[in-house]
Amino acid sequence: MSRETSRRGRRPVGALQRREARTAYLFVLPQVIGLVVFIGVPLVASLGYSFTHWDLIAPEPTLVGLDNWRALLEDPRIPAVLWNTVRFILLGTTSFLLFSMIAALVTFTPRRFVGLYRAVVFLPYVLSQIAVGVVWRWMFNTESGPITTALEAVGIPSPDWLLDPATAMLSIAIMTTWQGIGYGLTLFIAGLQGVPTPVIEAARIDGANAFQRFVRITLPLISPTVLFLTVTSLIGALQLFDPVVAMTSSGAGVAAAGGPDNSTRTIVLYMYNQLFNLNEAKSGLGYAAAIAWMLALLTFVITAVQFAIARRTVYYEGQDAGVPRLRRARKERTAR
Amino acid sequence: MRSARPLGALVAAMLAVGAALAACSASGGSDPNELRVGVWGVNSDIDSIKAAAEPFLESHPDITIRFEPTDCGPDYAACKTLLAGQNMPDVIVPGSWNYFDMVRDDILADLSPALEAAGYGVEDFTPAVIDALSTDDGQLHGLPMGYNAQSLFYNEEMFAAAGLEPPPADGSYTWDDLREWARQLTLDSAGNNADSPDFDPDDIVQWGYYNRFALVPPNEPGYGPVLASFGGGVLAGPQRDQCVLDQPETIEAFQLLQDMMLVDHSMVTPQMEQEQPGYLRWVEGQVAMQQGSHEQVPIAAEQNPDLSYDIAALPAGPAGNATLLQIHIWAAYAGSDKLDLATEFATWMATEGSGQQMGLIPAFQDRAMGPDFAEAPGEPGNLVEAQIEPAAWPLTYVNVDPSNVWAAISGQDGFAPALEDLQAGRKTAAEALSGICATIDEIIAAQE
Repeated sequence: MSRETSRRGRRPVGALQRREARTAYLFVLPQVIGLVVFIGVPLVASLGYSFTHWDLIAPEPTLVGLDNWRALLEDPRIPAVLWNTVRFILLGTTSFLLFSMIAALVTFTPRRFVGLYRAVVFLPYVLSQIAVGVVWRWMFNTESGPITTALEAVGIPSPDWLLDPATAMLSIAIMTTWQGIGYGLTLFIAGLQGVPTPVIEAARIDGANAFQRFVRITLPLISPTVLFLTVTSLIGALQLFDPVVAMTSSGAGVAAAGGPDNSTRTIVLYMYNQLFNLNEAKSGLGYAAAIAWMLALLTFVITAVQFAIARRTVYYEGQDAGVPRLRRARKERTAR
Repeated sequence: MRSARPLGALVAAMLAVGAALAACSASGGSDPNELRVGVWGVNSDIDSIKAAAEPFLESHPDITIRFEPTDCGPDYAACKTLLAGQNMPDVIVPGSWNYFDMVRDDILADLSPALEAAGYGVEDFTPAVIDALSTDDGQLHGLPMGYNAQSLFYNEEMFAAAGLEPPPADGSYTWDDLREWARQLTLDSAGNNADSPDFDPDDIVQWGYYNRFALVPPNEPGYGPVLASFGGGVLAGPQRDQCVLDQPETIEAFQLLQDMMLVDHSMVTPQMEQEQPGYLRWVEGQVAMQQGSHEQVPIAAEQNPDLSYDIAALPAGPAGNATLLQIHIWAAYAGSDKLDLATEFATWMATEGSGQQMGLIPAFQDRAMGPDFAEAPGEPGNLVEAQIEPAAWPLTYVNVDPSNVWAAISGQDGFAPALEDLQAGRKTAAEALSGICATIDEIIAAQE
């Protein structure tokens, strides 16, 4: 091939590619600008602020190096608020996943009014968490709340719910689960619709009972949905704020939220307190930014662990890698 | 290399956008004849401020005022975001609960020279109010728009039905008297009062008393005046840095409130408060007495015009009579580029323009005694004795503890868990407050 031919052959293609590339860049430019301006810049700025002290009153932040990060490690409240957050994950995220899946399994099969049922269950998800929190604060009222009234009507002594450090976080978890079930149900139903009916039928013919069919076929096939909901709900749980403020502040503002006896003060609530409510030497934007970055790193680690586990347990249709059980089953079938 | 070119263009575009945004935020040139005034409250509050400012505008025809609704005033956090964004109004209306936060942070201008230039002095204001706003070196970084005082609002028909004389308007009665009345005014659905052996505390239809015990807006707790009249409190001392929560007087006062809630069942509990605010229960006629400020008057007029009520000064405790004053303050932002105009306006609004602003008791000269307050139509009969005269009581105090300090002390790190134990009846006042000052002292020591 001569040089001339080569140029003639390649040039029109290269120009086209460049034009296409330019067009593509123009199309993605608004999104990239938005990403950089509203996410990238604040992200980098907040990291920068974490090395400063700024009460927002002084004209400029003061550089303090690693002081905020050191304070973070020495702050005796941090383990407590982290533990409160973990308690919410154990209670709230687990129950959200469990009850969403149960609700999806119950309503997956088309029946009369099932659409209405799903719509009703989804409805709380579109409501404001503050509004829902205020309603549930009354639901858990130990003197006049309907939950206490109902329990006492059947002779069951009611816990003190939001007044007792032992049950306050559970009360918040019940509220968030109730509000989130509709969302989880919708995604689980979408996942269940992807499970091939012939596979289930074949298993039934082979003698697998309902539990075996669910554990060995349905669950692996909807595992991407489980992974997605686990990751997103866990991230949401780490950011728990609104329900705590609505249910525990008794109208006294964010500074008073997190009770009783600090049992519901989460890491994000503490971050807010350090930014706006407290007036200690380390309080201010810098320390709050350090807390926010610690939370971001924690979220990243937890998500990375989840994805590492998912690599061995989540099955994507069409991919060779999948659930070990499926792999084993496939090997056994091949061997037969 | 070829692919780097578009990337370079992209980065350049980003920088241009960033620079444009930075330029936009930095270009804060404001109209030299326009004064920005941050206001807050319900619409009628803001309207009252606008109306009061009209004469100032008439005398300054070259000036315009932009009233900006903002939470910077009641909430210091909102001011901080405005300060960080270099977007503070020229004039703001802080409350006594965060005034010293702002003074400490040097964001309020000293209005003393402007006050002097206007021909007035501290003697022109209600002493308890102006004294509360003076700094140690005699500066005034704000002047009072007006103040609220806590009083006893009582339902006249309920008192008459129970065969009780109305509470003395001047506060010449005691907390023991009030507790006894509260029991007699608390009724179950069968009509038994709380003193009756047949009284059913699970079926109460009328409560005797409501105190804003749990629903604590910034620094304005309902238990405050009770503690003060017993000789106790939360913080004491000239620097407001001595914890007195574990003193016997404080414990005795808290125990009284707990007993009224949980032993007598005559006081609306924090749990009932969640279902419906206690002051609304009083307005609706479910509660015979409530401790509240003058803001209850327009609420009652609007929501239950037929309510037959009057007010009385708060009762005496072992230490005497006490009440809590809360001040709304005119202040000028020290960093304003129109500081002279801002201080002039703030001073004018607190003096010449005072009266009928945000429904408060005017603190300037004797305007409170005239048509701006005491002689205004629709006011309760005992207004002077119950709302104005208590400002001169020796034990009367103003909620001037900085809101950040108060938030830490009264929050979950401070005595909130003790108060929760108290309200839930898990502990007596003595048990709940035992050793609490060690915690409070640590918080005070940790303050910046």
